[in-house]
Amino acid sequence: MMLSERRSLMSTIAFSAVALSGCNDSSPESPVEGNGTAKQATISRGVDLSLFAQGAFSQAPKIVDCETAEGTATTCYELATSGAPAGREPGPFCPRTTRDGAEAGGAWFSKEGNGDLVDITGEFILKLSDYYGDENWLVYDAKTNKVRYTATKEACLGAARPDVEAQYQQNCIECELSYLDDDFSLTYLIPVTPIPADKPGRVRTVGIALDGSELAGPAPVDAILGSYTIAAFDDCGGHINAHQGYHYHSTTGCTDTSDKSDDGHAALIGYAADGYGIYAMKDAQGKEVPLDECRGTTDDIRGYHYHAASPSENMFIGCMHGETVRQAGASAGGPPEGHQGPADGEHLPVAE
Amino acid sequence: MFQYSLKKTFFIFLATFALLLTTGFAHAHSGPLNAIAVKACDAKAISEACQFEGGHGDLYIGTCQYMSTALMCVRNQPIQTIEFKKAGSEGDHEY
Repeated sequence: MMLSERRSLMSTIAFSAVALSGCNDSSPESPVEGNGTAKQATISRGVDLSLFAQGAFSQAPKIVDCETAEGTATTCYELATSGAPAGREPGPFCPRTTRDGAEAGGAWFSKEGNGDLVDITGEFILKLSDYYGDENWLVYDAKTNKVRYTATKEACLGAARPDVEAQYQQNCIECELSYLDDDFSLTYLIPVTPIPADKPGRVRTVGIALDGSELAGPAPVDAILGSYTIAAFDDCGGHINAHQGYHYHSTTGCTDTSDKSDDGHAALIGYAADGYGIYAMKDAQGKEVPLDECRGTTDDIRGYHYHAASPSENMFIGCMHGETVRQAGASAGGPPEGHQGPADGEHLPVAE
Repeated sequence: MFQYSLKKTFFIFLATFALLLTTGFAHAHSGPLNAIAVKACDAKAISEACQFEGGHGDLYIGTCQYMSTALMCVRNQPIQTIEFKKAGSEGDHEY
């Protein structure tokens, strides 16, 4: 090999090594509390029932014996809810015409994901083809300019599911609380004292918001958009289905506790299924802090706690730092951890 | 001979660059952010570092975590802004 060729080869290898190490440098720091150290420094205050909104529970909370999925015998709060957010009426969700403004509709994940949800205005519906780069979108009647939406219980049941019935494709999906069964109830079992897990667990049902609504896992966006539907949220980042009632897929401040901390910490929005608190993403100064892989961190006041992701990231937290309770008889397709719902489980198995 | 080796080096550089860009970095504009976050964890293991680019030059850095059945890039660092701007990227974001 000629000297010049050898030099070229060496410089290429050197460049590649530098570039690759640069990639490593730009990757995140090691999680603050990795798998092996999860049990260290994880004091937590646990669930504070006094912080929930009045009317958040349909029955008085109880403390019951329970066993975590990892086999730890402990005590849990048994929290029963009606599937409705305490203190407010959900909605609006879908605009009615393509001329409607932001006040007539709710919100949806921003494609860019740079924070806030995007308003579902009439114009948004009108330009879905451009937004998603797919000319097949047509969620309105081009002659009347009326938005197609699920206006009945039957339509809601046929559309608010991963395998959207063909007749409900090209619809803005919305459901009403009145569609829920009369005896609809959800029960959460949350450890009274959070138990750090040996290794982080998967997120299924995330937890419960301070208004008693479910903090749900990621919405199955691919299935929703693949059916040319928008599973519209209201401006609070939640929507309704027959199996979870009203539930959140993002947090926009509606469930923030009114108790402001002296240290300018972000507001509490609810509790995860493992009993640790979930706080808003940003503190009073609008800043975020680096987190561990579950999106958690520890401080002297709150102990271990999570911070929710931004509204358009389609998640609250990354994994469960603590042990969660699996319901008796639950299988992979059964009710999710820490949450006992109707027998047929979630309408959208991908944690919707 | 020198010209030949220069050309060869150039192509190796090009190939290396292409490889780097396609392995560890998922980009926006190929679909909803959720899909990009899943794509960022293609062929990665749980807890492995990942990153992807959102809109407006936002960089999301985190680790791959299971969200139900799919591995997804879970951001655990504050959203960062990528310094460089791609030509033609402005005006693509109407909403």
